[in-house]
Amino acid sequence: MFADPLAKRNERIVSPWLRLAHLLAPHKTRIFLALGLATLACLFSLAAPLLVEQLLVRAANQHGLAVLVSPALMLLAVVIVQAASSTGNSWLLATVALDVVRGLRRQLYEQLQRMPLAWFDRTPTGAIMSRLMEDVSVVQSLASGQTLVTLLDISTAVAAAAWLVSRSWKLAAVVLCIVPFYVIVFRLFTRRIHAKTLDVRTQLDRVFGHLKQKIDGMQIVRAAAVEPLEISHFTRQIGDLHQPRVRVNQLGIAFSNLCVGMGGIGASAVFAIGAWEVIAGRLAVGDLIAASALSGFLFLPITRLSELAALYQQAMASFFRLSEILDFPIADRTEHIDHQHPAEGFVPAGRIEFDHLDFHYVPDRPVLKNISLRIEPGTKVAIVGPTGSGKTTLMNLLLRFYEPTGGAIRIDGRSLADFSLPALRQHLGVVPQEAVIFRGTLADNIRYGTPHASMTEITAAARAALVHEMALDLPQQYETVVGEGGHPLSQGQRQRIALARIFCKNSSIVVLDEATSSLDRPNEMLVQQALDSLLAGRTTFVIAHRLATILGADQIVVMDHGRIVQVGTHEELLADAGGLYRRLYDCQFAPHGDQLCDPVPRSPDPTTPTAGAYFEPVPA
Amino acid sequence: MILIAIWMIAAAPTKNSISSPFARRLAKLEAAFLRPYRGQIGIALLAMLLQSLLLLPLPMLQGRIIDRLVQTADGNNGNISLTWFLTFAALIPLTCVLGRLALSWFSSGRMNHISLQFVRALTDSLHRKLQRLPLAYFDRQETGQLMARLTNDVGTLLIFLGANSLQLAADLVLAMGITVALLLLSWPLALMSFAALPIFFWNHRRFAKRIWRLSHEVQAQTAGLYAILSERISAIRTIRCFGSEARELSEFSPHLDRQTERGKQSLRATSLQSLAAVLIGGLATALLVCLAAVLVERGSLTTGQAVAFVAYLGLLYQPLVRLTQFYGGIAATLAAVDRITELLDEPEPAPCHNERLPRHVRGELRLQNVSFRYRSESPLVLQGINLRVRSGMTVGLYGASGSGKSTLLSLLPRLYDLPADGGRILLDGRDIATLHAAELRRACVLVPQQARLFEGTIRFNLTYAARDADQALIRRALEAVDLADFVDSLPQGLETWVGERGASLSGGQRQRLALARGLITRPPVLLLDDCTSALDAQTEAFVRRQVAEFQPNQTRFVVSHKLETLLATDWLVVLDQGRIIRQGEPRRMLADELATGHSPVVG
Repeated sequence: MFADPLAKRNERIVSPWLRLAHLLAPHKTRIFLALGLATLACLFSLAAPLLVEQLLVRAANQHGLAVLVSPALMLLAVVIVQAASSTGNSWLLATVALDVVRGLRRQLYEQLQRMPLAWFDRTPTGAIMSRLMEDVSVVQSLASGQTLVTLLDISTAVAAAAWLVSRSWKLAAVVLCIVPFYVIVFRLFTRRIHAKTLDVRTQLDRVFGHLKQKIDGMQIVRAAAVEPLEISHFTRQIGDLHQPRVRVNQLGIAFSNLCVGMGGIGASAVFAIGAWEVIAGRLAVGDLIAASALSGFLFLPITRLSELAALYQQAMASFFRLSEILDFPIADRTEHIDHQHPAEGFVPAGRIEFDHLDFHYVPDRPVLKNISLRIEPGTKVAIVGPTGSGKTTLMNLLLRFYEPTGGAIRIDGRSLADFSLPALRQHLGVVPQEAVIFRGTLADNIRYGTPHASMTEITAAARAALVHEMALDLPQQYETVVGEGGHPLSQGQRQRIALARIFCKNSSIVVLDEATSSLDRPNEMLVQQALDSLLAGRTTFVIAHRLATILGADQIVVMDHGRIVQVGTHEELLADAGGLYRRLYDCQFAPHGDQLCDPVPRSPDPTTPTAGAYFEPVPA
Repeated sequence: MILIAIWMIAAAPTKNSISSPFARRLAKLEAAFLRPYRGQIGIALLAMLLQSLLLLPLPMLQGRIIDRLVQTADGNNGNISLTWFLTFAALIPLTCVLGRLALSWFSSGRMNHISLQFVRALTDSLHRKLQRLPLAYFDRQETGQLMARLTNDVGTLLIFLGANSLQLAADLVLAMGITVALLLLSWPLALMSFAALPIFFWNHRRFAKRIWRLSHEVQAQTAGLYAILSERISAIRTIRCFGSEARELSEFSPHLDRQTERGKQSLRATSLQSLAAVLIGGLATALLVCLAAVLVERGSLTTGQAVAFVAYLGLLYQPLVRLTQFYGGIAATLAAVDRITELLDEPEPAPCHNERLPRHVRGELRLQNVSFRYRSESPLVLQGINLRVRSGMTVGLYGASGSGKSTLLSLLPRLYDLPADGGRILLDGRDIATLHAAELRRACVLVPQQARLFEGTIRFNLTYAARDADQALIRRALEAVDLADFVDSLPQGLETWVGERGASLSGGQRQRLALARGLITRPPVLLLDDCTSALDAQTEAFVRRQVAEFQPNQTRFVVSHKLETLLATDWLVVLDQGRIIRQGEPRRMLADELATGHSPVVG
């Protein structure tokens, strides 16, 4: 995996509580309302046993039925209010939880749009999906009515304890004795649950990653006939997931059972000692009845608190994983530009300059070395060279997918980094090496870069890219759904749709990265003609291996091993008999091509330009 | 029968009979996965029951003690003996508590194991199913949707199958036992308490249909989110290229909103149902408490009995109320089960014939009147293809984009099945439809147009289809595609990690690695679908020569647009709109083109 300096766990991780608070803030009203309802529910649920006590005691005294009426009515009222308020509380908070989850997913997706490509390069899609779907779900279960009730139960427990103290300090002492045991158990379990949960999540990432890749790449799996291997690989993976999961749950079970057990012992102790007190005459029977009823309010909350604590640990593990995305340091200088040059955007007609550019993805593997180039606006620049020479990387830097590790790219003297990304990308039209077709209608795919394009514009673009006839053959023409699960398209058709996109976009700078490699010759010629007319007067970068497509370029840049070895027009470069360009040309166009394309061991890393090249001198 | 029982409780609203398709699927699922654990579940259930039973004596005990205390307070009876007191007030309750602790821990632990094993087996089964489904199935699916079945839907199932469901089941069984206790304490009150049961049931039915429908929709919406994320995260570069990040977000939000809306609708229904249940339970309890008070007043019930009665009443109603509160979860679970079984029941191609190939495959291919369409409603992609390829021939395939070249290649390893009237393809004289799929695909190796690599090292990717390739073979394959020097230059060489999106390699390098992946298997028939499009002329010529020499006497199909590549083949086939319009010796066919320097003209 790449070792990226940005990857180290950064110190500014936002505290999970703070994050949760931010997420909950927009829903303050509902939360406070829920809090009110929950308090009401708790109070009234406290009242119920007391009323029952009242009723039964009065009944036992046998003073007649009339005296029972008022507590009876109050009991009914209490039941109704309690039911309504507890349900209302759960309902409100559950809707808050849904909204929190929505907000969190939205926030994550938004952040993803700003994450640097280098991060995507080393993070499998499955791991990202796992975070947005699974980890967020865990947070959902935390932000629920149960949480609030449990938290309020603590206050109920305190109230019940207070009542106990007021009636008999001995009973209160019993309760206090149990508290230290709870504390020990809590500490013992919470840490372990957190650690094991992270294990589970990491393993789940792998499962997601496997599924994503292998379903996407099912053709490869089938063609290689390795289904049995894949099956055993996956079986192993979910086996690896199984163990930590079992462990986490066992920890939770042990935790809550211990708490229940301690609670049971505590309640029995309260009753026993209370009964003893009654025998000794220091406590009234009625108080005992109430005490035994209230001990539920005393110990049950603690059990629920243990469940909440376990859930909290799991949620914290998920928050930690989400913070990998949410707290990623984004070096985005868009805000910066707005302050300094509010009126200036990107000037598309500017002169582009690559100034001593260096770049590497990984520190000890330089991909671009000392690239210097000057491109006048409106010219067509062809970039050729053997595979792996850095052509696409150079374009990636122009598109600001990555930042150069040395040197700079300038437009009209201003560094590329000073322009806002949206402005930059708006003026760039790119046909990448591998065209991606989204799931959607054909028309939507063509208008991907220009959302407001009309059907006329789309059709015109389709015609130029030789997509129109193909579209008419489809079952629903332009409204046919293509992409994942949609109507199948050949590679050539995909490439043409990608071309149609930039015809539609009509941008001032165009980058074509082997944009016609999958097309057959006749189509390629036709598309080339359309491109030529579209691109006249625009700054164009063409990466191609077929020299026929670049003959008309104003400037041909020959790259090899990350350096520029030759620059010039076709005629100039052809004249250089010993140069790389000449060799590539001969190989392609000689009558019996094969003989001239002997497996020549390619020159290892040329550091000096060949003679006769028009080339900016490399400083020593 | 557990799932069936759950379904019965929940299914009343949908008016599905026991014999409905869903019920049958449920029964099959259960038979396949839960049956092995029947015994263990039974024991766990028993333990849960015992655990709940141990709860029963306590209220009785407390009632008795209170009665004695009241009596003593009134000065009726003598002192309470210490032994009696210790036994009833301390020893027995303590035993009950500890017993409950042990039983609960045991049964929860068992259920935890069982439910996770179940989920593990189910996920594995789903994956195996995916590996058995034909490629044509995947062409119709979105990756994220399938992922959601194995992760989200299975996860929903897991949530429900935890200890909670067992507790609920135990409590419900217990409730039946409670009715006996209630009758013993005060049969008039007991009978009145039973009157609340039909009301519970009515409440349940009233909301169930709506909740059922909404649960399905929520699961579907969530799966939709998976699909979008799967597609868009993979396509992040394209999104960046077009600077449409803001648009992506604004298109993603409505999906989130829809999912949230459904969730809230479902919530509303379950909350109302829950409220009604709590009210029914609470009011019934309150009324019965009042009645109990009246009876105490009348003297036909002691205070202690009343206290016990009220406690037991709670144990009767509580599970019923909880069942209702659980209903949302039950409905979601059944919706998930529905989606899971849908995948498990997807029809598979019949593993009809599994004939083996001989050790030495000559690589002679014959296509007899082959016609093919991807879907029954699509037009024919190939029509009446007749082709005869001798062993060791290199066949060039040329044609306009969309003329069927890639399709033709994917038919040879039977990645797609020919329709009944679609002709035959013979390998060494044998119909490939009768051959064992894996052997066929090892004999006929396809290198697809799009070079897709997997997360793993270079070595892993290279030997993906040839795990037993030795170092020498690996080296040869790398040299053949001119990657040997490159790999040597990497600090970790073959162990260098290649990411899912293969960003550490250039397009040409990825393509060459994918080609080497095919070469290294040394198949009798090699199918190359435009595998050098990203290479410069020099490298391409080199690779072409190397591939030819890598395995002499290998039958090869080469799809290409490049003149030089086509010239190097033994036989050229030109496709147009799914038909072969010309075939012959390349040099003769391309003589005109060679003379004028133009590229081959179709038709």
